[in-house]
Amino acid sequence: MVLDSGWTYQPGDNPAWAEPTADDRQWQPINPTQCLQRLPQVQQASVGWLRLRFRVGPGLQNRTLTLGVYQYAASEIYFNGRLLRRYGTVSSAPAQVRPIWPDGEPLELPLGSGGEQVLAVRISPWTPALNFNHFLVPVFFQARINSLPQVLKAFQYEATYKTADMLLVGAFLLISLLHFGFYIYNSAQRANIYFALYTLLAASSFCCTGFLDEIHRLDLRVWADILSYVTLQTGSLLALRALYSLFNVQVGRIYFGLWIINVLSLLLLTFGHELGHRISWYPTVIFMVLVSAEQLRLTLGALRKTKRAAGIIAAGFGVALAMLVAFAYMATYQSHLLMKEVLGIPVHTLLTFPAFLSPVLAISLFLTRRFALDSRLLAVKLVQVRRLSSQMLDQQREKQQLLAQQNETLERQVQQRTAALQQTVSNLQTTQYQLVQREKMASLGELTAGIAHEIQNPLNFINNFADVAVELLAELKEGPLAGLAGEDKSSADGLLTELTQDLEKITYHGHRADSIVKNMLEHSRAKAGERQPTNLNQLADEYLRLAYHGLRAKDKSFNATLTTNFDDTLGPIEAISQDIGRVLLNLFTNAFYAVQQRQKLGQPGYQPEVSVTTSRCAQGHVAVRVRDNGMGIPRTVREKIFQPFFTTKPPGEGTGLGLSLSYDIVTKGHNGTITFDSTEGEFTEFTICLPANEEKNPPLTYAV
Amino acid sequence: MKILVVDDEMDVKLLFEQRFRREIREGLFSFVFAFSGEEALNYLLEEEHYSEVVLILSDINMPGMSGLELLRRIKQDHPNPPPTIMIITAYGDKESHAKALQLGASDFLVKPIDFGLLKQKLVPLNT
Repeated sequence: MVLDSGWTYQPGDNPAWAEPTADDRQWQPINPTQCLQRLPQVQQASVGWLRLRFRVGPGLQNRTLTLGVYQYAASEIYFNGRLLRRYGTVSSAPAQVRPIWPDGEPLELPLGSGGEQVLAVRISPWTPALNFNHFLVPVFFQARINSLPQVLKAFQYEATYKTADMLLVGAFLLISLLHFGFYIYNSAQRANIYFALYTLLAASSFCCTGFLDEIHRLDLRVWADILSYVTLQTGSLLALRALYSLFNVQVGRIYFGLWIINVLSLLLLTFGHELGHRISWYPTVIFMVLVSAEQLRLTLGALRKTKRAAGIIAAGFGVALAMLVAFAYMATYQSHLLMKEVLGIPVHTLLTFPAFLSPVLAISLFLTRRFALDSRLLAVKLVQVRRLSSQMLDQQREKQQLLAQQNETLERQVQQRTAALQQTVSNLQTTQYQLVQREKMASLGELTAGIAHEIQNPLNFINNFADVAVELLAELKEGPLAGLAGEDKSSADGLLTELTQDLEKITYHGHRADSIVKNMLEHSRAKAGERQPTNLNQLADEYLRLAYHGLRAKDKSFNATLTTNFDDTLGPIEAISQDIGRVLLNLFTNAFYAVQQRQKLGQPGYQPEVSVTTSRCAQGHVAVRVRDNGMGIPRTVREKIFQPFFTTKPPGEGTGLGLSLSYDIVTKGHNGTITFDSTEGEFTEFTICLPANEEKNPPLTYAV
Repeated sequence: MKILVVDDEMDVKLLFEQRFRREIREGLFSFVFAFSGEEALNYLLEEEHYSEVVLILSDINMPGMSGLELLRRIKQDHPNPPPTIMIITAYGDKESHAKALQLGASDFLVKPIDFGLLKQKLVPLNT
């Protein structure tokens, strides 16, 4: 029972006013359960006395009654003249007043035997520096008288509320910790940090609310009360921010507007005492309604955007809303129902507890689900990435292998090309050498022709004059000398005979020189020979025998083995046969000469042999090889053997023009090549290589 | 019969005079020598000489005017060229031969001169 009527008040201080007998008939009536602002008479006095006279009904005479005090003041409680309890320090100096919140601590009332009981309170109001709203400082002094069962019941309720509060604090702290963890491990999901901060603030709000009555210092109590609202409202804004983040909605004017409203509503709640007693908490209510509306809007928006998981949050809000609607309905129309108990818990708590918890749990569940989904997605992606990377590795390995192979191929090709190039270079060098040789030979040939001509003219005169001289001598002998006789005649005849002999020698040697010159001129004289299909095998055989018998005619003792290796598949080739014949004859003559020379050395077991081989060689060419096992060609003369007038034979036996002429015939006349291989003292082999079926070239002519 | 021999070799004169000494002595042939183409042309410019010369024997290779050039000039410039012009050369190549015949040479001889053959060719002309 709240003692809110029958009180009288007297400012000032007199210890005698504690006594029941004190005269208070002149005192002003007062209702001290109002807030201080409504009690100006109390505000003005720093110390005053409250007195209440009451009677206890006969039914309560033997019952134990307790007194509970709630106050924003410092007081000393006297009952029937006895000091029951001192709450804080009452003083006439406002600076020394120390107010205390007794929180309805039960004080046993020793009821007097007389009918009338007197409650006297020496009291100093709490005058804080800041002028707080009534909402925060709702009463000046309130006293309640309760029976023992009522006290017990109240304690029980308080315990339940505290338990619920602490459960909420614990749950919110855990959730907060969980989402801090989520945020730390995945800072990309920013909703987690907002949600963690929201739950932390909500936990501190519940903490403030739960322990509010345990704080006895009034200033601290008021600030804790304010703090509980600040954290509650700001927390709900952070929850809203978390939803924005969750649903990927751009933060906009509404959100910042709500922040402004938050600050304004908190200021109004704390200091807006002008609003009047009844509506002082409206700012908070309006703010919470706005925030809820925005939360609802976001959730519905997300649902419309087919974010199915938003249904979890919607369900959370739905449960909360249902509980709050039920709570509001009961509070308005069926308030007794709220005090009913189910399983020992008041319906009040059963409704509010899930109302607070369900949205939080829903959001937490949503975030956890997303976290789990992200993790699962990551795991799947990890597997994919691993597979891809292994594929990449394989491909890279393959590519490297390919590259290596290609490198190898390239290397090989380069080597092949280099070899081919080297071959070409060496071919070129050979060709160049041959060209130089050919040029040398050509100029030598021309020179030879010129020399031959120049020699021929004087030689003509020598021969002719020698002829004429012989004729003249004959005339002399027949003419003038015929007249001579005896000694003179025989002496003159003798002289004439000797002169004639000398002139004949001149003629003989003149003709010899002439034949040399004629040979030399063969080099440059236009060839009359025609190209015609020529059987090389037959030609070679013919000239081999010719050369052999030619030598045998001069030297009966000479003997040699003749070997022929003819390729019978060789068809006729286009060639000037008498020229080729001359070349072959030359080569055979040289070969026989070489074996003859070696035979003369008298080496035991030496068997002279000359062989001729015909064969096909490089594309479209045929080769004739003439080989002898004679003296061989000394290394020192190898470069000179094709030069005109070079000979190793003694004077008179060779003109030194044979090979030179052969060289010209083969290279210039037939576009062929003539080469040789030799080891001194063992063998010599000449090889003529001729184009087999080349088109007819016009015969080459050499004009000098 | 008057024969003009054109050759840059001075000794040709001596050789011809000795070789044909009998014919000269008998008055069958008479020889005139020119040692270049120019000299031969100059000689022929004189009318009496021109009409006397029956045969010209000319070398091809000479310093200055060649034998073939001389042949061409005589055949072209003179209204009544000597009836017989023989070309003698050290080079028996076909090209020179063909050219000489084309320019109107009566014969083509190769050095060294075979005097027996030359006599056989000259004797019928003297009739």
